[in-house]
Amino acid sequence: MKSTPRTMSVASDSQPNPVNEAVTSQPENRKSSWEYSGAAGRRILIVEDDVDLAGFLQGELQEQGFVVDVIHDGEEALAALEEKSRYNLLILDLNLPHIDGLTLIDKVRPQQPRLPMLVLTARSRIEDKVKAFQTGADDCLTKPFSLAECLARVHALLRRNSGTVPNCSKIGDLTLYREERRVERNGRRIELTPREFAILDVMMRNAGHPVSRATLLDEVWNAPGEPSTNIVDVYMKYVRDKVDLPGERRLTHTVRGFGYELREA
Amino acid sequence: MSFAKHSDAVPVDGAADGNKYHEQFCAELADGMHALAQPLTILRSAIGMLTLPNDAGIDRKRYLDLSERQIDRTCNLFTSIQNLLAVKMEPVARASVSHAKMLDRIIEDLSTTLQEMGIGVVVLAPESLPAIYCDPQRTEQAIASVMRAALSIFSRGDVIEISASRRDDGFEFMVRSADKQKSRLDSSARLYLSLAKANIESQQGKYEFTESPFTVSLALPLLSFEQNCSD
Repeated sequence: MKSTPRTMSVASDSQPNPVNEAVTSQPENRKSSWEYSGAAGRRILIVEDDVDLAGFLQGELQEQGFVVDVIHDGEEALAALEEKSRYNLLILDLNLPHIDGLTLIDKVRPQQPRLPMLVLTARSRIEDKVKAFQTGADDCLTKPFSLAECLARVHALLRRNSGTVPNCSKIGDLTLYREERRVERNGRRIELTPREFAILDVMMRNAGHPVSRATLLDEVWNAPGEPSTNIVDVYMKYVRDKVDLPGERRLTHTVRGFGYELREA
Repeated sequence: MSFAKHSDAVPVDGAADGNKYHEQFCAELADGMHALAQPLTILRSAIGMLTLPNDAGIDRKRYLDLSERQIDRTCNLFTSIQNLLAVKMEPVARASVSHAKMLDRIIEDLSTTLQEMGIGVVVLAPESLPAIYCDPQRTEQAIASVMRAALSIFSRGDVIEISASRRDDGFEFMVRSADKQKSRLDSSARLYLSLAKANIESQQGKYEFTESPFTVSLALPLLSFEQNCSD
């Protein structure tokens, strides 16, 4: 662990942050968030017309390590959902301006049959919930709900729909456990900050294939586009220093002019 | 519930009118319940976070501040629902009202909020306008509710224009903005507008609303003093 004091960071990353990040800084003592598996780089769209509630949920999900967009209007949400696979989860209220929640589900579901949809509703009648499920919702939460339940359902939905990302990834003697947020190499526990964990998570998911700096920037920092700083390289060095100790066979490799690759040889 | 029977707010001439009135009331109440569910969700969640052990790394102040804001919001909504019920249940009063004094009072009540939000108010009400005969409390509550709804979607630098004018068949208050708002009305704002509508319609007035640019017209019938006395 580096001893340099942190200036600003997301979650509880304890290393200096080379760029001025757009995400709100968090208090030092806030326990991370990224305790749950698979949050890194996962994008959630919240469609909720109540500005306070949408903002609250956005903040809490960001604390969990998700990338979260908020839209207050059904019509705008429909436009945002036109790009397939942009989001890993849709959280939506039923009572929305311009296009109501049920219509939104009805329009999006045929285009994105695998997108998990969590409906938030103040309507507690069974008929309303059944209608939401029949239209294509995967889960339904009645307001006023508790955050803990909402987060649990979010993780459950993502888990259910993340067949390609198992809890455990292994390459050589390096093992990453997403649920426990634990990394081990040859029995040695590797302590990673949330950001480093997110980087390694992406690398493990693409083990054996080169991962570009742009992809890492997009997946880990939610900053699409070509990197204009060396932030990825800086953090990759942190990861490399912890994963590949002197005397161990190197697993992290630089792909010159492109990015990095995790492989055994 | 037999609110229509006990109220003289809206004439109920037949079963159809009664059903319509009942449906409208239920819709307004549903709006109110929906609006209440939002701050209650945040409150329930924030309290849940606050009950976590001390070593959980929770930013307690953040959740306390959140709770405080949402309690205020819940109380305002609760008052609005109570007011909505009162409009439906209680008889309409009539009195001579100075529109200028009434508008001054409304703006004075909201002055702190307006200042904090950086929103300006322009009042266009000729002094020559005669006093109006109406239910003072309902009329004032209607205008104040529209103002509160407007505040929820107006941004810093926006200007709310309130006008009062005489029409052929009545008296009209109008609250509007020259510009289109980016934000949409949420359930709280819709409840405020429901309250304004109920207050005006209970006086046989007319309520008209356009969301963008935000425009609400509250028209009251012009009643002579004799008419009011004979009510």
